[in-house]
Amino acid sequence: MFKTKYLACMLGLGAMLAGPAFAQAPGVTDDSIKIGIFGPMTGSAALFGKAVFGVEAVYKDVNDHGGINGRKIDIVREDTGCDPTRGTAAVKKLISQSQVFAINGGLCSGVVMAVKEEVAKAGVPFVIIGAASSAISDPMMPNLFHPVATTSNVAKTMIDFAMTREGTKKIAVVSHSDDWGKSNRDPAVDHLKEAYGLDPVLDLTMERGSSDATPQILKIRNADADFVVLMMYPAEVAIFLRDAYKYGLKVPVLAPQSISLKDTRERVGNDAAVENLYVFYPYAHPTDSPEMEKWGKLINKYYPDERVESFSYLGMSGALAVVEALKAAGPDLTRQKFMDALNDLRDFDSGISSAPITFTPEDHAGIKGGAMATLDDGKVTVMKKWQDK
Amino acid sequence: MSDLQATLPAGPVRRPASAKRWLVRLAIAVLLLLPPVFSNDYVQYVVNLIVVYALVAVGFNVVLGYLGQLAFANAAFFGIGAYTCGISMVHLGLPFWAALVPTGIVSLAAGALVGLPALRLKGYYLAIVTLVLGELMRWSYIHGDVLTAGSSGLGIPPATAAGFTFGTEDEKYYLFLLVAAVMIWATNNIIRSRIGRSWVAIRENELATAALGMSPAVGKVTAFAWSGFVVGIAGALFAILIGRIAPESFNLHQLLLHFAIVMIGGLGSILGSILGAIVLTAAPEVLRNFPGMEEIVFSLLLIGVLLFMPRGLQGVLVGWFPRLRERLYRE
Repeated sequence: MFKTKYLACMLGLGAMLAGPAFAQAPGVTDDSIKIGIFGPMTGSAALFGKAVFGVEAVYKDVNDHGGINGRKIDIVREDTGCDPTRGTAAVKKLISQSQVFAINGGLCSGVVMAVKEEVAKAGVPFVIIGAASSAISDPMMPNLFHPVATTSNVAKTMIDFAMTREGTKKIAVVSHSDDWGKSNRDPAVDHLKEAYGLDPVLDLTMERGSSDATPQILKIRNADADFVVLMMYPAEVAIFLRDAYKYGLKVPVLAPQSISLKDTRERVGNDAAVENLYVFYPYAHPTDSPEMEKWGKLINKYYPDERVESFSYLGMSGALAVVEALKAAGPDLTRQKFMDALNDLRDFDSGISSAPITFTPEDHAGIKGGAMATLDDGKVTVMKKWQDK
Repeated sequence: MSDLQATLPAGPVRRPASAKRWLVRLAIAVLLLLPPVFSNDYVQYVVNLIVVYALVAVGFNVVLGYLGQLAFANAAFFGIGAYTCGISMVHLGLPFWAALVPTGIVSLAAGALVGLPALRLKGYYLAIVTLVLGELMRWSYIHGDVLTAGSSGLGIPPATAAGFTFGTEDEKYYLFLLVAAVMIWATNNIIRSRIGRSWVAIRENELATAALGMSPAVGKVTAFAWSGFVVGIAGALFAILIGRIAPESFNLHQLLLHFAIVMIGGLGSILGSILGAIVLTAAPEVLRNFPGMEEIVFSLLLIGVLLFMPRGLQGVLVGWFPRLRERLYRE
């Protein structure tokens, strides 16, 4: 009896002492690292969910090339439907039920803002896929990394681009009056005021679901605007361009990264109507260039039926940064080592994003700067300033 | 006093609860206390969401089921409750319990205000007017940055009481259960009172109600006010549960969800409201691993219930267990 108790005590003590040496971080085993991914795979914003396939393709490719430090990436995907309530459930499931090592997810800013505190409390490293609100990474959260051009960054790039044309004085802004429209409009108007001391010559709204932009177009024509900044969804941007063409308005139109040039051209069905459209472009090269095509092929290697669009590439840079940091964290992987490695990431050029990714312990908004793109003879042309055309 | 009068009780007849009934009640109470013992953080969050939506459906059912008015101000009441609670906690520094007071008052007033058009409008016209209110409120949340933090969303601190913080999902559950139990008990009692019977009478025949000496105007306004109050308090619980409220949480989708919960659970039934909340909150989570199935199941459930179960899940359950039949439920 005494021997049994003694043996049990010794085993218990041994286990306690040996514990730290054998302790694995949550979601990490000898041969796998569990990474949680979430995005809107269903619902009205499912188009944004295309980015999830790009992220997963990066991880699957890493697995096919032997993994990271002997471990394969185990992907756990959850759908949010772009709804904060469902998104919170998805993240709670990833953390408490799937027990992932890290999360690489989030394409809807509302969802990310809703789950931020939850992830902060859990201490799980969280790398954003594509949600762009500046409030996600400002103020900074130690375990949240934002390798995405934020709304402030996008607005700044658009306004700065317009101001590179000599004599630009009158910028008209047309936005949706909803939360998305406002979160994009406000940084643009603020930057115009702060950097150039200008107010928009017109500050108009066009509601989601509108089928006619005549009132806005006529006002812009009367105001003799030099540029029009559109903070609107793809359908309404197409309607605006259709009506602008109809009324002969030939003012350059700037739109954010949620607008795809080719998709807009298809929607409008008229090449001439999109001649004056310039969109914020989050990538280094046109999507039909050989540099980007290889990433499209990678997506189709693992998802043959997936139609690759500009959104598909959105999270791939971030996923490559995650892979880089996992490698740098070494074989004794912990969450802290992984976050330290991300904090050490400087000028990480994935070859996809229009600007390199840099994280510091003080700043987790990883992408600064960007470019604009337009269609030139039907081909996407990337521009840094007006004169590049 | 005649012999007959002498044998009549002074007040409403109350059946004494048998030991068996008390045992059943005790068993239900114990069962309700158990979920946190067996759940993880995620499952408990879903259970908490069910409690919130059960309360929402009970409040919505007052107008839709008991009063029989086609009004869709529910998402507006839900948002008003959430934002009033959030603003009271964040800007006025009130603890959750104290914030429930302005939440209740504002939601009650909003309900009464929405009840006024119902005095002149009916059917589709009332539906459109109340629907507009929801969109108007959402616009206010977006553009009222100073109070609501606009599109970024308003961060809500955790609920506290006597130095205790309801920080975890388990702790929130017991808080929510207490609030929901009190609200549902109160609603149940009101429905069985003279006021509640006047709501049902208005639903069945407004002219006959007036002929009986009950004012349809008072009945309608009180029903809307109580509905606003209950749903507003549910909104406050929602704010605490989510921890950050944003305008997009109170959109048309939210309204459709509330409507489906009431329709699938059973119009004019408290039990139905709870059943509907359980099914429609749990279904998306159960179907999480089957992309696209949620929409299909949601649609099939709604079509199936309307075609084959006009009394909703509650009607089916009552068919199996007749003792669950509520006196004033809608046929």
